[in-house]
Amino acid sequence: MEKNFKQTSRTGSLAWLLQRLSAVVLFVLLLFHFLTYHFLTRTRAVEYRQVLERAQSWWFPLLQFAFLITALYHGLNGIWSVLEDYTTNKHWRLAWYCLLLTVGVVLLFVGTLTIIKLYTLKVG
Amino acid sequence: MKIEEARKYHKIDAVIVGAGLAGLRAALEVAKSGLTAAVITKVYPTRSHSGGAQGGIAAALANVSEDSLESHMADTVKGSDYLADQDIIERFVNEALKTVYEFEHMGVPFSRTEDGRINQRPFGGHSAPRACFAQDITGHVLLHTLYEQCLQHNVLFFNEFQVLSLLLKDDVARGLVAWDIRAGGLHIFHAKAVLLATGGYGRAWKVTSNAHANTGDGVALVLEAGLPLEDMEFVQFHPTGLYKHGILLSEAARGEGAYIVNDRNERFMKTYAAAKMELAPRDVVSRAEQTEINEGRGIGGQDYVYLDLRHLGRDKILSRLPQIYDLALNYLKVDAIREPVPIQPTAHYSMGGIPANVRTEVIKDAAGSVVKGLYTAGEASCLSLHGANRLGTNSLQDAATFGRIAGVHMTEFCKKNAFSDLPGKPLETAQGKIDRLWGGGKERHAPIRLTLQENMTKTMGVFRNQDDMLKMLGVIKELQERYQKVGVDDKGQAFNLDLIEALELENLLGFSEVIVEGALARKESRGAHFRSDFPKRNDGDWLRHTLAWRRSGKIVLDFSKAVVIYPQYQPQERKY
Amino acid sequence: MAMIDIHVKILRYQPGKDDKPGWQDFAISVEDEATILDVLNEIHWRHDGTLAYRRSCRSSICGSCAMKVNGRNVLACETPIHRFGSKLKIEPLSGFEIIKDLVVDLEPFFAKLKRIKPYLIVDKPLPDKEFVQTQEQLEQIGESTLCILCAACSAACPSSWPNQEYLGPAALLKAYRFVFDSRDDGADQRLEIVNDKNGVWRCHTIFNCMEACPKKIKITEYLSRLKVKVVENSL
Repeated sequence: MEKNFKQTSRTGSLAWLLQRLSAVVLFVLLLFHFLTYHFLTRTRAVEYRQVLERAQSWWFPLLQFAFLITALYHGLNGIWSVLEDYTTNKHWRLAWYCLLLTVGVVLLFVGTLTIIKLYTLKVG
Repeated sequence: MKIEEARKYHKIDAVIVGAGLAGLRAALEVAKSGLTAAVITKVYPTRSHSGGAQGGIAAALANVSEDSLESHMADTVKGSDYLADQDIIERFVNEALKTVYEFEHMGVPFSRTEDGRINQRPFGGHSAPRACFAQDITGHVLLHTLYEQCLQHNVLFFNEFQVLSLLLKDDVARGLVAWDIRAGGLHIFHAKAVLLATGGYGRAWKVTSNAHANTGDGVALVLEAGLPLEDMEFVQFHPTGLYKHGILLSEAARGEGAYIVNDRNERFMKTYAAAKMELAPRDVVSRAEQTEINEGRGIGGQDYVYLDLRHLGRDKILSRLPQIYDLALNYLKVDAIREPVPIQPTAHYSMGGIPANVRTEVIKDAAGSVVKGLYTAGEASCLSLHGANRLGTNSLQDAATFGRIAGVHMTEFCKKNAFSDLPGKPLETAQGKIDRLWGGGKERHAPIRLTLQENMTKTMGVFRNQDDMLKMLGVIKELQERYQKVGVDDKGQAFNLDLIEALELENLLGFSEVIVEGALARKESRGAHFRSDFPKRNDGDWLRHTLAWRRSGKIVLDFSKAVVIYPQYQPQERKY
Repeated sequence: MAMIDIHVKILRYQPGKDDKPGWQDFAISVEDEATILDVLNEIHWRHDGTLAYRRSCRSSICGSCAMKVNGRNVLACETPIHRFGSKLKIEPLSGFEIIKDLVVDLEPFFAKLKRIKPYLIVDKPLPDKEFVQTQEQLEQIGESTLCILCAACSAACPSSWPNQEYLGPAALLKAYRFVFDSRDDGADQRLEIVNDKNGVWRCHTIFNCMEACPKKIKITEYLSRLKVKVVENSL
């Protein structure tokens, strides 16, 4: 019966901790997101110029990037832990892991591009 | 094929039957010495009925008030109605403290005093608060702790095995044969030393606090092997069994101050034991209860009285007696904080059992000659520590202490002796039992068992008399005949509950006859054995143990085994 | 007290005979105060001797008779039928191999228990008498020592179902019980064992174990405390 168990891998504690930390960070960022988008606008309607101005302030891209990283990490790590629970075959696990990694890299690339594009867009 | 080559042959130094407190404690002792110890148990170890013990484990630690070994000894002697062997009690009280501290060092979560020491509560018949406890789950935590210790020390466990025959030859134990309940099939266990720690035999009664497993299998095996049983007529009825179910509500309730009242809301114990009231020993309280019921003062004239905890208050009930609270709520829908709980006497503890000496070696006659390599401890044994009536919390202490002592002596024995040869055809008896049931007739085990249990409760309860018991003997004879025609529906190998229950019934029928014969012969009232036709204790004729054999189908009794009595603990009138 | 007619469906499986488990119906009469165990006894003793189930103490302390009744994990002995009405559906605990009928293979369950070193580990010299442990220190572990190893929690745990390697709530609760015992010196060893993806980290605080526990132990809460302890210890 004993052979069913591997020695401790000391894995999981960091993932667990980071998942919780990223949740806290996401919570704060979300609050900030709502604040800036819905409450701190100077005019009633959302205006192109105003949005673009904000997008090109020094702090905005940094925040958006942090948001992107934490959301991606938190979401994908969550899905990974679900997949890990229900996939015991190690080949399948590897396949899922590669897929999630690819999805992560692609989304990171697209997200980063968007932030950069907004930042560099000429205000008309 | 030679037996040694069979796949289901095990050669193990010490084989222990039963995984309650006594069995596990013995196994631990043997395993710690480096020998191999195997525990054979019909239920998973943590399911053993030691876990059902609630109130505490007795030891004169004197943590909450003055106490002494002498006092513990005197209380036990008096509690036993002077039938206990005092050399056994002496060893018991001398080792009791060690046993409790040892348990504490193993991590048992004992309830604590304000200053962080083991807490103790009063219990019936003890003259000081001597019951070391963990809420009202003391047996449970002791059992789990011991099991875990056994895991640490690599005791081998054969879980869900039913022992079917002892392998004895020339008064030397050589092992046993057991049925693998889980997968089916017989296994031979070849051993140097065998310990029978199979627990009590309360399942012969209908109203009982005992588990389904408590069918006195070890006791029956010994009887079948042609060896004697001792003092089987002494069975304790616990005064606070949950009405109709018989489930135990710990004496700890009364230790914490609960009352027992009749239909007139009187604490009737004042008539029967004015000094100790509800905390008189169990035989006294059970008799008082049954008298009240018989004289029409049961609640609404029915066959129960009330255990009243209400004045203890919610906090004390929930912190000290949570299990009792849950049991009353689950089984009777009674909220013990607001309502009194219906109770009745319930068959609880077997004082009698397999005779053994202070080294826990099984003896085969009144002179004390031993069967080499065969040991017994715990409720299955009759050392006799409890005599005619056991005091509450002495049972856990008995099982643990004499379990350890058994382990010590078994280790010694195993180191000095080689394996003895198995007798020829070792499987024969066991195989015969199974073949007969599989090839058996139309009778079924359940109605026979029910008839036995109902009649035992009716005739062999708190009060007994000759007419009833003679009738009971007739009933048993008739049921034994019917048993010869029992067959089982289930012919499968894996987890055949039908087969196990039928095998257990044979055991119940076997020793029940001994109980009745012993009680019929003992024409006196002592401790838990009360005869309405002989209501007085008679030390002149009956201050002696009963030994009983089955010889060519008949029960043979012998009363020449004397009780060991020290000059300072002479029999006196027993008042509380 | 009155007799009532009930309808019972039991998931039967006889090895060697049945390919897979299947339902069998019984129509029986029992007392209205009967428990699930009384129902099983009635069927086994009077209707079908081949039915197999585990039981022993009948007083909710031995942990033998955990099973699933109408979708809930319960101890058969302490559960009155009136909790479910006159239609009962009884099946073995989920997530374990069935040996026969309601009897499941608990060997892996007990093997996991052994893995977390379920015994007090003491480095310091033993005192002559007892260790001093305050009531507050005892309080930390008090409730966890109530566990009767009935396996109802593990059988209710969605993390346990697909993954036989997960230690499961019962073994982890036992780890908690020793790690938080003021007398114990073995916390490091045990935390090392449970600090694994198949250890405490496979618990996703689903709370099913707590709901299933017949002793109402706050298992999820204790497992969370264990997680925090692991992190504290490994950082």
